[in-house]
Amino acid sequence: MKSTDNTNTRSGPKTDLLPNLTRELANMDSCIRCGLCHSVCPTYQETHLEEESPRGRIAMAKALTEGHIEFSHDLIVHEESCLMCDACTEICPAGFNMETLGLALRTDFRAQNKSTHRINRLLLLPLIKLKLLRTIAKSLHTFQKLGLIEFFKKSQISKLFGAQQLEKLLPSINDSFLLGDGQKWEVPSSKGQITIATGCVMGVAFPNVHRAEIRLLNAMGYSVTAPPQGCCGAVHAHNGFTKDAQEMARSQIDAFNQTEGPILVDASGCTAHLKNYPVILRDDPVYFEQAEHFSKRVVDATEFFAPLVKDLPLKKLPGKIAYQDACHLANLQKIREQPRQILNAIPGIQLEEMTDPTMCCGSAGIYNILEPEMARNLGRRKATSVKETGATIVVTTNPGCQLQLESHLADEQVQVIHILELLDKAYMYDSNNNSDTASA
Amino acid sequence: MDAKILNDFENIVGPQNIRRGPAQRVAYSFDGTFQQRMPEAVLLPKTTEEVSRILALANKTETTITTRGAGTSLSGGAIPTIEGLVLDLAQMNAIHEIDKRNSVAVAQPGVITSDLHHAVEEQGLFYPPDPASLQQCTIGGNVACNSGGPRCLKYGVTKDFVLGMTVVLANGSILKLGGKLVKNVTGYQLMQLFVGSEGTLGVITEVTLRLIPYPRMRKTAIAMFKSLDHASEAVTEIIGAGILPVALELLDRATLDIVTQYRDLTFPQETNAILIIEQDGNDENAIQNDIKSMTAICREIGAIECNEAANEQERQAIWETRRVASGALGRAAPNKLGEDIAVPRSQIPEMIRRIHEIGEKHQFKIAVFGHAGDGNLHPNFLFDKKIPGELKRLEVAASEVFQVALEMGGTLSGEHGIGTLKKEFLVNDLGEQTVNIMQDIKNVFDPKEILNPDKIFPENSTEGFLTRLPLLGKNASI
Repeated sequence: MKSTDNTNTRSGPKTDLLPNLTRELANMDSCIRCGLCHSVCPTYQETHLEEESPRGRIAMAKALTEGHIEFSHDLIVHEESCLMCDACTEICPAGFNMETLGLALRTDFRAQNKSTHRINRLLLLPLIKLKLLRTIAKSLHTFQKLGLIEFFKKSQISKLFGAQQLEKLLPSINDSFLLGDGQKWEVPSSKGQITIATGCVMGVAFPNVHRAEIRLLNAMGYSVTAPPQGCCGAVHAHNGFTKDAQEMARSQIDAFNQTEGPILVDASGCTAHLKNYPVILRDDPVYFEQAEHFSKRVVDATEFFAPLVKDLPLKKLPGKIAYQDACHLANLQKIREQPRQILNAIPGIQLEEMTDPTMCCGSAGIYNILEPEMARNLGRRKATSVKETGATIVVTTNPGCQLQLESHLADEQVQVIHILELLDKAYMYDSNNNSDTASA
Repeated sequence: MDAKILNDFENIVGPQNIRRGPAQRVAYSFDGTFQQRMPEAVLLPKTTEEVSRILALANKTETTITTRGAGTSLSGGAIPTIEGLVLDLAQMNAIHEIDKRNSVAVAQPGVITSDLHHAVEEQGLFYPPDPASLQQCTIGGNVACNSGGPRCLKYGVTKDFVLGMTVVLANGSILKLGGKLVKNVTGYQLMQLFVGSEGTLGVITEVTLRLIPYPRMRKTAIAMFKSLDHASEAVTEIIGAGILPVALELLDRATLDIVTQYRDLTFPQETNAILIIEQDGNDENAIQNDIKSMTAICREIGAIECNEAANEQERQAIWETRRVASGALGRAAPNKLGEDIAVPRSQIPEMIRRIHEIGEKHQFKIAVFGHAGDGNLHPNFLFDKKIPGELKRLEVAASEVFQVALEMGGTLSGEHGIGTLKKEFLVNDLGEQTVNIMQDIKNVFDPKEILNPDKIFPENSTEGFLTRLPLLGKNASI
C-alpha cells in the first residue's frame, strides 16, 4: 500500500473554463492554512468538518482551478454551503478575502451550469425590472388581502414552482410599499439633500423603515429624495448571475446620476453590495470609474446617524435590548461601533451583548431558501443567543436578518426591530423646532 | 485501495461519517505547512470503540492511518503522505468531566483547546498550555504533539498536564493509562511515550488533564528595543535575575512590520524588537514587583519604551500581536517555513545573530518570533515555492539553522514536532543509538507501520529534505 505514485494525469489548470477562479489564485494562495477561520466560520462551528470551513473551501477551489480535481458534486455542495458572511475574511491574519472568491466561484459554477442551487432566473427577474416588481408587489398585496396565500400553500401549486421554501419566507406586503420613484420629501431651509436607496425587499416588505428614515432626516433638517431606481443586485451577484448583477449595477449608477451627496441605505446587505460596485464592474471600461465615484457616496444609515445621535432629542425607551450584527455590516463594512453608539444614545436602553454577536443568523441573502437545514440550525443558535441576553427587543439593520430572526423568535416574547424604527420611536418630534413630519 | 476494504471501513463508521469525494479528500490533504497529499478517504469516528475497530481492520489489511485533530500542525505531521486513510477526530469533541475535587478534566481528543480553557476557567481552574493556535487546534493534537505555548515558560508544556489517557493501539486493542492520580510511579511511564508521539504509536481517544487553580491576577507589559540584541539580552538577564514570569515573548522587526499591517498597532519608528512580559498569581504586590523588576532590566539594557497594559482590553491587544504573528506572515510571502528550534536560554542572543547571518547569506527574509523565555524560537523563512530553485536554497539555509542550534546544545523542535519537515535531521540531533531505540519502540507498538508512517524517522539523506515533500500535483498521486 505504500507506493508513491508519481503520475499526474490531470488536465492542468482550467484557465478558460474558470476565468474568474483563475483570477482568484493569488487570493487563494494567501491562505497559509493556519485554520484560525475555523473559530468564526458558522458552517464549521455547526459541523466541525474541514470541507465546511473556509480553509477547506479555499483548498478545494484551488485544487479545482489548478486542475488537480474535476468538478464533482461534493465540491459544489461544500462550496455553495458557504454563507459568504465574511467572518473568515475579517479574522484572517494572512489577508485572504472570501467575498471575491465566493463571487468568482458562484460566477464560474453558474456559467458552467454546475450549481446545485437551482434558481429559476425568472424568479429574480422582478428585481431586475422595477416595473415588474411594482406590479408583483401590488398583486401580492391583493393576493394576501384575499387570503390566497393560504390557498397557495395548501394547493401544492407551490410545488410546481419549486417554491415551498420560498413561501415561508415571503414577507408580508405592507399596505404602503415604498419604492424609489422620484419622490421628494422637502423641508424648508434644508441643511442639505440626502438621496436614499429604497431597494427591492426593503421597499416592499419594510417600507416603515424607509418612512422612519425619512422622518428622522426631515426632522434633522435634511431634504430627502428617492430617484427612480431598482434593486442593487446583491442576490444576483451572490448566486452567480453576474451579468445580471452588472447590468443592475450600471442602471443603479445611472439612476443616481442626477443626484449629489450621500446615498443613504438602510439595509446592510445592500449597502455592502453598493459599496462593492467597483469590484462588480471592474472590467467595465465605461462604468468602472463611475462605480468608484458612486461607491464613495454610499453610506450605511447607521454610519450616517451615529455621529449625530448625541444631539438628537431622544426620549426614554426602557428595556433590555440585544443587537444582532449583520454580517454584511460588521464584516464587510467593519461597522460595529456605530449601531451600538446609536443604541447607547437612547436613554433607558440597556444594551446586552450576545455571546457570539458576529455569528451569522443564517439568513445570508436567500441562503435560508437554498440551504434550509444549515440556515435553520444557525437561526436556532442565534435565537438561543438572543434569549440568553434576557432582552425583549433585538435590533438589526438588515431585512434578511430581520425575517430570519422573526421566524426563529416567533414563539418568544422578543420583538425584532430595525435600528431606524427604534430611533424613530425614541425621537421626540414635537420638541424639535425643525419638526416637519413630512408625508410621503 | 481495494473497494471492498474501503466499504468495510465505511461499515464501521456508517455512510454519514466517511468522506470519499475528491474535493472532500482535498480538504483533508494538508495541515498548517505548505505540504499536501490527498488521502483515499477520510473516516470520522465518534467513539473509542469505532476507532478500535478501524485500527483492527487497518492492521489486518495493512492500511495506513494518518490521525488528525484540526489539521493545524506545523510539522507536516497530519498529512497523509503515504496513501491510505485520514482518521479525523474532530467529531469526538465532548468534555466528559471537569472534576473540581480532583482538579482534573476528562476530554475527548477533538475538543478545541480554547473551549477547554473556557470550560475549566468557569470553574475557577486553569489549564495552562496555550499554543498560538488555541482557537482552532485540538487537545488530542496538543497531547500527540506535546504542544507548548507562551505560558509554558512558567507552568510547563502539555506533557506536564497529562495524567491519564485512553489510547487505541495499532492492533485495535484499547489501553487505559494513568488516571486522576497526581502521583503514580507504578511501572514504566508508558503514557508519556504517547505524549509527543505524533500519531505514530497509537490513537489517543480520551485524555485526563491536570488542572491548577486559576491565578486571580495577571499583568502584562510590552518593552520595545532598538535592536534584537538588546531584547534577547534582556531575556537572559531576566531569567538570570531569578524571576520566573508567565511569558517572555519576543518579536522582531520583520514580524512587527507585518503584524501592524493587519492590526491597528503602532510602535516607535526605531523599534526593532519587542518583548511581551507577563506575570500572574494571587498576590498583586508580588506580581507588580516582578513586572517592575523586569521592566527595570529592560530599561537598563536600553529599551526605548516599556508600557504596562492598563486594562484587559489592552492586555488582549498585546497578546493578539503575538497570536496573529504566524498567520500574518502569510501577507509577506506566498509561503513560509516556520522553524521551531530551541536553545539553552543563555544562547538566545547568539542564536538570533546567527539566524540573521544565515538569512543574509542565502538571501531569505527571516522573521523571528518565539518564546524567548524558554529558548524556543520560531525563525520563519519567507519564500515562494513556485520560484524554481527556491526550495533547494531554502533547504541549505534551514539546514544551517538546525546545525547552529545543535552546536549550541539546542534541539530541532521545541514544540511543533518532527513530522515530515525535520525527520531527516533526527540522527543529527539524537544520535544513531537513540533513534534506533525509538525505532524499536515503534516496532513494539506498530509492527506493521500502519500508524502515521513516513513521519519522525529518517529515511533519506538530509539533502533534498524539503524538495522531496509532497505538494499537490507534484509528486503526489491524487
